Amino acid sequence: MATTTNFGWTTPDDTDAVINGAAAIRTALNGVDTSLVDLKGGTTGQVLAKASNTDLDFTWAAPGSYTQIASSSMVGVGQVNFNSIPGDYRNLVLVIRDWYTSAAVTLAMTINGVSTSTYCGKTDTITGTTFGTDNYVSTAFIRVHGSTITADRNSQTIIEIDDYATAGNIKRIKGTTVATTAVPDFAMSDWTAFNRANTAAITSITLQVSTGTIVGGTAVLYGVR
Amino acid sequence: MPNPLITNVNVSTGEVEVREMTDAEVAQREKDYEASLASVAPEVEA
Repeated sequence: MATTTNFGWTTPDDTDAVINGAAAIRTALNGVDTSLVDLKGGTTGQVLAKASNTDLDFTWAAPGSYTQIASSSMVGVGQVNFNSIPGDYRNLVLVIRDWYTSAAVTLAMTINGVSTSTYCGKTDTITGTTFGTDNYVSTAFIRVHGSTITADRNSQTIIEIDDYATAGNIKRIKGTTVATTAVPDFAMSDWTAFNRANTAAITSITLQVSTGTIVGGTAVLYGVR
Repeated sequence: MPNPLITNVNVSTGEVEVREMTDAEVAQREKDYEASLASVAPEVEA
């Protein structure tokens, strides 16, 4: 039985009897119907996106939609690594909820496992009514927060990495951490950082503390289309 | 006292590995932190 070149849809052979034409047409169109089923549906404003790397595997999604691509508890660990991050998305968003550490140390983030390069960052902080700015250059990591959190302060950190899958340019990484504190009532840090010596596509993200453990928290990685 | 745990998440496959950090990994994170305490002069374009 003949098939089409690209999709492999079954078509009648030139020598097939015309009397079988109705069945042949039905077979051919059923193949098309099956292949294109993912194109059916959707709602106004949605866009078609790949659901996997498989041919013709599509899904309808809102523009700029978030897809959770990984999640990890941080309870009791010294280090969490998100490795082999696929380059299928436009941007990455890492959300870290309720994290705190056993020792009063920085929650550190390293990109692509590179700890011998140079990270630069600018962090604006608000602690109660006190405002501050911290400019730093660090060989090993980005500071996820401008201060330390050693108890469950209902913290939330959101980190945005735009254009992460493109090689050849420095990646802007932007984050915000908010938390309550014992005294005063709250702390917030808003920061922008980058690795000035690494222009590779981002395929791994590491969260760690220099001593002790991360006592609580969950890290969720989203891909943004 | 055991070393802290390390969690490795393979985002592409979904595989998760949880194990104790090796002595070398513990030493490396402390080394990274010490190195980061040292101020690095920013590069200035000539």
